[in-house]
Amino acid sequence: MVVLYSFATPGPTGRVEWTFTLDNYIRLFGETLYVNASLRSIWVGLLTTLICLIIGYPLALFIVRQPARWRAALLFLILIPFWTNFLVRTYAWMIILSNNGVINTMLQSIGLPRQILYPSEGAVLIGLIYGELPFMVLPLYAALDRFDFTLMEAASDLGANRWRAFLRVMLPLSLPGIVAGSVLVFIPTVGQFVVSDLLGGAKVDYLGNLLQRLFTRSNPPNWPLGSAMAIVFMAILTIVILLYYRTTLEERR
Amino acid sequence: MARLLALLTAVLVVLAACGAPTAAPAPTAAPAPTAAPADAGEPGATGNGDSETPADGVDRSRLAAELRVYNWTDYIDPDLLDEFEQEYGVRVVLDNFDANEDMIAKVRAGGSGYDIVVPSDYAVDIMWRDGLLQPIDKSLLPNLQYIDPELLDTYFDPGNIYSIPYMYGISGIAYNQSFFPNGIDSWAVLFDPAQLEAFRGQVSMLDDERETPGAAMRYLGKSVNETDPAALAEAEALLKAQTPLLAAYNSSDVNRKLASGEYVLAHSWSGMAMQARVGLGDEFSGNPDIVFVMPKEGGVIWMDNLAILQDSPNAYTAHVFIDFLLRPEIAARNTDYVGYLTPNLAGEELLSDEIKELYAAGFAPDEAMYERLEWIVRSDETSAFTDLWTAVKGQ
Repeated sequence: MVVLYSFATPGPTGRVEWTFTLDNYIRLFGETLYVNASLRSIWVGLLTTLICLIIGYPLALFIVRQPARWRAALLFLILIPFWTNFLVRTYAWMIILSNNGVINTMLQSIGLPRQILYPSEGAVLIGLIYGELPFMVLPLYAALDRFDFTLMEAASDLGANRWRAFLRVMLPLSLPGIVAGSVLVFIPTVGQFVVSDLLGGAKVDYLGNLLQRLFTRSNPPNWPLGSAMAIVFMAILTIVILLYYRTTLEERR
Repeated sequence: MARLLALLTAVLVVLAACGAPTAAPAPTAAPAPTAAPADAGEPGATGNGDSETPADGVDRSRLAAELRVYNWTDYIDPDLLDEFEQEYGVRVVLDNFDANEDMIAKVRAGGSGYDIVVPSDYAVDIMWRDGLLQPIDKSLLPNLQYIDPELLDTYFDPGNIYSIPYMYGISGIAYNQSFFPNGIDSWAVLFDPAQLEAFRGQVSMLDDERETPGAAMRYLGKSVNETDPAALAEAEALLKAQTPLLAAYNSSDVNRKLASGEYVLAHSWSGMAMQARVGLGDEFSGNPDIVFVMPKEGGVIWMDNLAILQDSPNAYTAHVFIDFLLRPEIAARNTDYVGYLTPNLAGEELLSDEIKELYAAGFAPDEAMYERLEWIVRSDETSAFTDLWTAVKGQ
């Protein structure tokens, strides 16, 4: 259905006319704004994934190393925010970061000037990382939980220092977790539009915003162009993920 | 056996009632339909077959149990919904939208389940041409007599076949006068980066692909409907230079953020500014420093309208609700609450003194201002604004 729409022509009131055209695809690749929005989304996706990995890996490792009875409790703590609706959590960040919010009130009480923390792209990043972190931690936990830590001792017996043992033994063995977590974080981040609207002040478009606008907000709506965009978006994601799988998983063999 | 027959008969009657509204004409061109779909009983009706009509002309047996209204955010006094339920036993379920385009998209997708929507002028035009609205049966709206004739029979719905005026207003600048002791009289405060820089991060523009480029057009001395490519490019450049200095594009809670002090300056609808000034019921309290001005370059005037969806199963109840809102006393209380302008002439006289004074202070247009006001009109060329707006946000 989406593929069909992507080759159709948008009508004057927003209804789709079934005249075959390639214009939608030509526009997508020809106009810098569509390319820009895509690059911006992919950049934010990569950044979020990377930061989630940097925070998530030590966190998962820490949890795995705890005594069994603590592990369940710690995982539970990671999961608790999930019980609250994602939108509610995003609104909470608005309250924390706003001009009269928690952080600024604290800054002022110790005599520092107020900072405009939100809406900003930094706030978008914070919101995304906060929202996606559990998706990174859980697969990593699963992977590290299966890891046999006596292998690390073996490595050091064979003369590897801790850092080298980590790089050559633990990291490769936990790769499936890293890949799974990264994919789980990357995909929703690239397609999101709510966080950038709420925490970014709706000032710049990410792919998700653009799609949302093309399908609903614009006047008239342009479903064919939106569909073409969704197809290209899907293709790009598939390629990125395949590449990622290849470079990371095949390296192990 | 007799019971079974009675049951069968009842089922048939209900089925017939269900079928009737869909038999109404589906208008796609510009018809003047004669058959009003609201004449049929409604499937959800709780009636007991007794068709006795009380003094107010409303046939209680034809009322549905529930009415679903899709309205703009902060755009009706919630107490009125309770009152309607008490008077007629009909529960009103309210959902909100922030842009005509969102609302139309949801309705167009079909099966929205709403009975009444509140499209703005140009949106009424789009919706009736697409066959999304059903004709209004004016014989069910005795209170229509109170509406200002100047606001009837407009370009977007000649003869008011599909829509009834709800509220109207203007789009200008709301600001906190403690930050602007000399006042504001020009869009330059928003579009001249040198002036805007001082308030970086504390200013918002409406998140609207017609209103926002429209404001830029007026600043450039052009019509809000101008689609000349050179003018569009100029407006686009203005907006692109403005974006980094803004806190946000916002059409939903400008009222709250002006009142709390988070914004000191905003491109705003007049009523939203009024709500920031006087507060909104129990929702939040007002800020006496908030002022509204229509810049000297001029701006947009618009009107929102009550309309009944083509696929509304409760058309009769919808008419009763619209007529309820048209009562002068109800219209006045609603307007006192939301702070926009009422097209209800009898209702206007009943407004509170506070609101009347603020109208005089700039929250409503005066005679001289009308020359600077302009309606947003939609045409085949105006889709250029979608491209402009996408370009501004995608920079």
